[in-house]
Amino acid sequence: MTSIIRPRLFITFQMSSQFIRSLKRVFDLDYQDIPACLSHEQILSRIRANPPNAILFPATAKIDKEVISAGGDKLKMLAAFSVGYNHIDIKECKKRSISIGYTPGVLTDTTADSAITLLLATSRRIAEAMRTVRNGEWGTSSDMMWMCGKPLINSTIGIVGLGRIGLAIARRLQPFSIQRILYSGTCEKYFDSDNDKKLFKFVQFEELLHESDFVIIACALNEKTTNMFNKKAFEQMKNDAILINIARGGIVDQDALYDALKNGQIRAAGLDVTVPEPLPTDHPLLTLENCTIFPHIGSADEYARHQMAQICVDNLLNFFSGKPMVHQLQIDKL
Amino acid sequence: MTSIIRPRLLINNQIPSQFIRALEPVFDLDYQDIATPVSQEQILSRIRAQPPDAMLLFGKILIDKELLSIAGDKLKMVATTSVGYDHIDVKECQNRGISIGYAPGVIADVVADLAVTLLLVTSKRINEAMRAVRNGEWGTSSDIGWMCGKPLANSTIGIVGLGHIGLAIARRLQPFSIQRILYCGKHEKQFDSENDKKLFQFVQFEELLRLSDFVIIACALNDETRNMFNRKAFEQMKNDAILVNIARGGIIDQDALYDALKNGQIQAAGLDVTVPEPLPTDHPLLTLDNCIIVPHIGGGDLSVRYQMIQISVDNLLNFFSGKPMVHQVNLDNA
Repeated sequence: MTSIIRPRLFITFQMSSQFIRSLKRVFDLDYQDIPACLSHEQILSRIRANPPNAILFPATAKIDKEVISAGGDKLKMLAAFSVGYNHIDIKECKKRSISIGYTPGVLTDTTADSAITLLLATSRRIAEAMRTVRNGEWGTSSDMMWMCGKPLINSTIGIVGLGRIGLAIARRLQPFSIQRILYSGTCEKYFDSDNDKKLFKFVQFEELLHESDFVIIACALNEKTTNMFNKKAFEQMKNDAILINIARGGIVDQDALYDALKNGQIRAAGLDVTVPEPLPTDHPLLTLENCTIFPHIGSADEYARHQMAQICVDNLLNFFSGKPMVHQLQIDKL
Repeated sequence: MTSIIRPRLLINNQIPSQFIRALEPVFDLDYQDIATPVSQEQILSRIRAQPPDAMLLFGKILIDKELLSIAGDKLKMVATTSVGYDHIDVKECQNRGISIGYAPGVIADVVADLAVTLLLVTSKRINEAMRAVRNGEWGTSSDIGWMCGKPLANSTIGIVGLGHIGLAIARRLQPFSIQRILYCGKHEKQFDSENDKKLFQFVQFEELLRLSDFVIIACALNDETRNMFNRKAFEQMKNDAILVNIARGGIIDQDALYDALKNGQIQAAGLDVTVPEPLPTDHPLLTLDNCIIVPHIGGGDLSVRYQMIQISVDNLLNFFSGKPMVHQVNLDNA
């Protein structure tokens, strides 16, 4: 009698039961329905105990050489619950012919929404404003300048990385009467409309830093972009510029950022991503009024998360039935 | 020898010296160059002591029957530096032949920016998110639903009052993949483009409440709109609706709002305006996680504030030299 061995899937985080049910039909699951986060050590020991054929994991799980080797030959596929893949050792996957699924596209809108939220919350000083309501400061000053923010009208926006998310951010800023959008990256984009040709300008990174009132980081984290926002970068930025990072914490040198904010080298920063995540509660950046930090909620809406989960499920089901994934990372091109 | 009696102008707030220099040649000034707000009582005593011919108004001073009778026959003109004039008893001014200058047309963009800010920070639960960064909650949950907000994509926006500010808000929301914009008010607007005709729909207030995912109050406060958002209104709204108010606190019955938020009748509210202002620090609304309150910062832009004061100064100078004001409240329509 032939026994059919079902593939084993290790899921490192908590998912809605409907997705678990879909996966259970095809996979033997190594899954715990609890919200607690698994540490790197815990992930390693679970893999060693029950070597999986596939792992389903969010951006907070580091899938490094150690994790991949622990999986041995059995590990055939990684299903990333994210569009970023800086947490995956791509080289090691190439060596071992491990396929990687991920979730681009479906989180573009919501992440762009979060970027705008962060930009507006930072430039309008929402954290400070909310505090003055609670502590009684509201009403004690008739100073014209009280709680004034940095206006978007007539400003120059600089977007580092005009990919799907960068472009979605640009589109959301257009009705705010901005003057123009500079962008930097690996290649110039082609725009059809005359409006766009006038609005967007491809520039070198240094020019973007020099000219922008709002600098928005929307590129991937890789060897070229690690610590791209260092001391030298902050020196080149305008003193009243606002920096927004919704990409990856590792693109910003946080010590240099702290100094730049403390010394007024830039006006303010809004971060949805940090190093590490979560940021320790005693981190110096948390002592600064002009630094707004969100707990990596870029894609945090139910609709986007649901779609991301569905793509992960489809990527897995497709791969293990010999069909093409919905979204597969082209690691040969990386 | 004829002595020329210059008109007396009472200014109730500290203003930049350039404006004092513009007014000094024409007016005898009753002005205190200090940064503390003046109370209603203090204004009444100043009026008793030196009845003014005109007033240059900032903030919350009420031009009510009491003040107007104390001011007597001398008072000919009131120049408010705001666009709203709900703090002025317009009928009583009309009876007494007092002209009112105000400052429309300048503030729409910066208020619309704040409306969108408030909508986004409320729907994305930014107060809870920032708290989770500071108190160590960030990182304790692997649930993909953690800190999820309400998405804008495919939503129905409901704008109560599609004036300058309401329309500016609508334009800013268009790129967020919203489905449609319902609006209510005194009359339907005429739109030229096909896109706009499809996007905007003029409806009755009740229909807007019933169908909107995001309800934004952008109308004036008057006898018709006072407490418009009462128990009955909240009953008609969707359970997962978000309410944003950047107009005037008096449009909402705050007790009814508290109950609606507490009982899950609506999902959350973001308020830039309250009754009173400032809101007492022990107000029940401040105990709710799903209520975000900012201290009336809609106009919080230095350049906009300067422009509105300039308009008010011009209103005063024009009126007292027999010329038409730049912007005068039409007492018959008000």
